[in-house]
Amino acid sequence: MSRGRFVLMLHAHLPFINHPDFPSFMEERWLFEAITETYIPLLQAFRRLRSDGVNFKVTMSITPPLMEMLANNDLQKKYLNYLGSSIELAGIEISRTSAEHPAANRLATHYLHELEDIRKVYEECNCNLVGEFSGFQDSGELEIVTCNATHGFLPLMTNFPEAINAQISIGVDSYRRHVGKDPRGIWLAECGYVPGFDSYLREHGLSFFFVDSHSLWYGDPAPRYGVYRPVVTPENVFVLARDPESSQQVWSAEVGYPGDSRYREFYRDVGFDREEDYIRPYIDPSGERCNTGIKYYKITGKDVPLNEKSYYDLDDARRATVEHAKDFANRKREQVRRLFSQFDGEEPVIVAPFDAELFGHWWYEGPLFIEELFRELNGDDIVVPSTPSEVINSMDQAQVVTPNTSTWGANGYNEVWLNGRNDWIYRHLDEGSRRMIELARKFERTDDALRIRALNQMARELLLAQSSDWAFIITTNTTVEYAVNRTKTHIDRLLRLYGEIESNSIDESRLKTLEWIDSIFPHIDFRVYAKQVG
Amino acid sequence: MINEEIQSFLSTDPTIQDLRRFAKMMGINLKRTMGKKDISRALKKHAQESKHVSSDAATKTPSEILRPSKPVNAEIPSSYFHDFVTIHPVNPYWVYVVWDLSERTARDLSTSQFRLLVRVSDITNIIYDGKNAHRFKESDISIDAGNWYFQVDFPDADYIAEIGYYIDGHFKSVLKSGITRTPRNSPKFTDNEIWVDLRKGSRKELKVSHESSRRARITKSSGPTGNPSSEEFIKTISKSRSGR
Repeated sequence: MSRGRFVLMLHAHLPFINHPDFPSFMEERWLFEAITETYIPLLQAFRRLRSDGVNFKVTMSITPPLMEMLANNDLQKKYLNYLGSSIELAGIEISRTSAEHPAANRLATHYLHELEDIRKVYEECNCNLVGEFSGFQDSGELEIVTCNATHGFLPLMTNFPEAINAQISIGVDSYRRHVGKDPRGIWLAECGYVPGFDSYLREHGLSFFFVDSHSLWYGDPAPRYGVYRPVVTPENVFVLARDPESSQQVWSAEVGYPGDSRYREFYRDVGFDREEDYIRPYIDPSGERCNTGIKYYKITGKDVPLNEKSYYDLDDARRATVEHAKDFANRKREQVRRLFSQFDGEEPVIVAPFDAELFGHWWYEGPLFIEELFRELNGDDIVVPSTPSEVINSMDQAQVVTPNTSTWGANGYNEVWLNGRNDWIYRHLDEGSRRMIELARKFERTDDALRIRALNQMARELLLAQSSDWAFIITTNTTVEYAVNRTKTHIDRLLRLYGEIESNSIDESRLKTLEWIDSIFPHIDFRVYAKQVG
Repeated sequence: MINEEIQSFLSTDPTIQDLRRFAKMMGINLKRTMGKKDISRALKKHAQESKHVSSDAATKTPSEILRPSKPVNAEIPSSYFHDFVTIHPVNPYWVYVVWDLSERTARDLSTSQFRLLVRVSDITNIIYDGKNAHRFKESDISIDAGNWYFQVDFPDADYIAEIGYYIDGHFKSVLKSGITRTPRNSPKFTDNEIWVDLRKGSRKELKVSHESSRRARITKSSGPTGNPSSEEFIKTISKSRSGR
């Protein structure tokens, strides 16, 4: 009988954004929105599945910067304030909408309850979301993988093997500190792979990673089972490749589920709809409008203009979610049958990776979709939800394949992170790596405490500048000023530190400030850059 | 310097909270009872006193002192004055070349009458001796441009970039990059598969018939090939307010 495995992989990532010297900072809301809309709703879905005895298997990469932010006390306090303010807004929206429309009023009440539940989850776990996710890992329902330190785009670091090694090494170390065990797998930022990267992974004890489909299709050689069986690299690291069909079903603007007219419309939010005086306390203090998460409209239709959307109906949306989860499960069964018949008795493995924030933040009903999908597949004979480690443990043999150079960005290669808009970044990142390696080797044996602190901070500045998010944001033309300034500011801080360390004139008070604001990886050891690699 | 910073800060009509923070960053002791005017006065006094004193605070702008984490459009060097040229693939048909020159090299070259060129050569599967490239492309763009995108002929091919000039009809290379390989954009089928026995840890080589090697093609064509992070996705994301 046909049987196959299904690996749902959620890549949870946000760049490190920490402005402890500001009572609130616009870009910090990215984290707060993701906690409210994605991370906690996922945990709630996992809890319901567990208490109902449903077998579910999810894989998540919770990236090091995200873990660092989730564990940051300042950000935890700010999140609670943000959540308090959201709850307050939902409360006043109940009275406001009572005079407007019963549908909106019902939704406002729903949001109030939903937000209060979220606060309860957050407070009950003492703000320790990584601990909550780890709990599901300990019970075998979730496998958490790491990511390279600051989500740096590794394919453009190939001139500095030390920089690649540091990204991997710090990614593994950060996971250990937050999760309390070694990661088995890694999500390479943007699925950026170049042949040879497997040796870094091997070196750090990682046994698997993910690539986009064409990384295997055009691998050397093209694997016998395409993307539907993990392969091993020449260094014996397992490779799991994205199934394009699963992505298409969820992502596609034409046929993807999130575009259903019954689902909630992302772009209508009271943050933009209400008059200024009323909404001011709930948006950015500068007065710049932003999403509040209180949304009353449904997609209604692809061509319906934003101002003509109809009211969102929770029950309708729930029905759509259940339908879509069933449809997806059926498609996976059909896919497994089709593949199994071609696979000489080997189980096809379907790997479906997504940005975690798609579920909940962009697609409000996403976490419920995941929950319903696992209910639908519970006890299924054909499609068996699995973690990568379970898949690997079930294998008797694996084909040796060198994956092709690739990313999961537009067109599959480096264009998103290397183009006329953002290419200026790499000259500075290269110089930063060069200087970091130079000083790490020069002062490898120093026991001067202040110099060590300055060198560690220099490493943090380099790592923060390397986040692929900045180049991505510049390409997508969103918060460009922030991304450009973050890049330049970290480079500037790095260069100043270099000068101070070189001339033995370290400004301690300034260093202290940098340690406070760019506080990622408190236990970093700059000597990682002194290592001879490659 | 501090004097100027304080004057310029005071001219922005700061709030009492900002005044307090600023004074604190400057290391000025304030009493709780001090009002806006008192703090301004204390700051001015401090400015007078430090008029001729140079300190580390002199390199900080008021906004940096107040809110050090705010990312700024910092001035970063346009060149680091090392000799280098590097090459990266952008995709199977484009490579990106970036370079810089040390002051010495720039000076030496500027005194010669030779026009500098950037050359990208296809050196797939050969030991390159400077003359045996399969083919090359040259661009006589200004060396000051610092970078250039080259369209190349082949995926899965090795490329090297060089900066140099022509002398007596021969290309004289001044700087060479490392070698980069463009990504493949088509399947590479084989008759020899290597498999690892995961239970025993041994490797075996498997001869496969063309029938089964075609299977990979069948498997591939069974699904749509659209990339989730397609232009469409980028556009969707672009409509939003944040990176992700």
